[in-house]
Amino acid sequence: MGKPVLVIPCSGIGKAFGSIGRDATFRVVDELRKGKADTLCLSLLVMGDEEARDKVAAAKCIAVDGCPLECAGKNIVRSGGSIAAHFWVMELLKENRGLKTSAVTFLDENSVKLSKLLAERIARKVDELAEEDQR
Amino acid sequence: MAEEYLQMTADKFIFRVKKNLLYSQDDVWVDAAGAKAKIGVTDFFQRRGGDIIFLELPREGDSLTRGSRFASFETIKVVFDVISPVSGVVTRTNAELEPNPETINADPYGKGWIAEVTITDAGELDGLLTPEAYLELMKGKVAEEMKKIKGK
Amino acid sequence: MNIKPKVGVVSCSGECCSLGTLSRVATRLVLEEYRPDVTVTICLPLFLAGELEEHGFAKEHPTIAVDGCGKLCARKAIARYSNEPADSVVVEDILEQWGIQAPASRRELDGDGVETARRLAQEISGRIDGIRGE
Repeated sequence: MGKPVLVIPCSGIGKAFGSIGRDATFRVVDELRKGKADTLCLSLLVMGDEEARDKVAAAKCIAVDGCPLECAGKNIVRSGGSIAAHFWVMELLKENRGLKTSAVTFLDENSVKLSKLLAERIARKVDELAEEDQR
Repeated sequence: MAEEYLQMTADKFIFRVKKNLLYSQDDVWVDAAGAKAKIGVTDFFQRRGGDIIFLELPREGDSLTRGSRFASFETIKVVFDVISPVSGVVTRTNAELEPNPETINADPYGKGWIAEVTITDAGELDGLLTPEAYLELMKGKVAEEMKKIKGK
Repeated sequence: MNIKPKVGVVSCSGECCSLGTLSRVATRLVLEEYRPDVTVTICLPLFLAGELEEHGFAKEHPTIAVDGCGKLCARKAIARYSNEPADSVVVEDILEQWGIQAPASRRELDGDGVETARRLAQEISGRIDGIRGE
């Protein structure tokens, strides 16, 4: 098996989007694609941690942003990484109007559903990127 | 860029009021030139509502009546009505907004404009607020909102 | 007139482990329940992306950094880009003092994990009171 694909969420603490993106990331790296995908602390990366930077430089990165402010995407690029795929929780909500939620601290029923939907999409992208590596 | 705006700060939030526009009590700005005007929502409006995910816009040819709803925005929590500051006819709406409603949040005074209107009663512009007067109104509204918001 | 400032609470993003999740949840509880009127969120990713409002607030107001582990991302970031935080909480150290193990899951806290988060929120709230001179 090749290097894990890095899935990096914004983990924005002020909005529901950040919580959903974070939850979806953990579903992917700890459950759906355990061993095939990994994550790391965005802040650690931006603060210049060498190990984090080396990981990002060597791996394919998927940015998971909550909203158009794109903190994950921007911070990955500023830290020398490149983004192989980008997901926005807000875009997912646009497709799923019935799943509106404002839960930030603890996910509610709708945010769990959104998280699962997002996790499935991210997992499929992890498969695609991992397959590219093997060719 | 700071000179283009009046602004106030509450906690960490900076609320901007663009100079050279007129404003309604309902937080809508008007950029009028003769009988034509461009309208949009203020920084305070977009921030109070949060990230806009869905919206309903007027269509070309629609009549607007001052004081009546002409658009609505839906955020993750609530639906906001946008109240027309003038009476007139819509000549164009911002096509960028349907696929990208977050444009309003990112740039409420620029790329986030909502509609262009031919005004039917120019006298209505006299009832609108200057940027300075709107800033004062906004200060009161911000204070009220900050009281309502817990933990944000 | 004695005006007491609001305090900015900055949590690490903490994706690496459950300590980060505890940090995040405890911070949210402080902001939502324990000290909602005297605290302001500083979103660390937004702060690191250079957002003016986050920077502006942190420069002018006291802050408390809440870090999951000894890497101290929140504390270092605030110190580097604005001012040294007025106080700093390291969840890992506090759990050790209390004799509590870190939760098993980083995605979701179980009942014990939520209880620990609440206890941490109370600890952070006490520190905030100290910053504000109360």
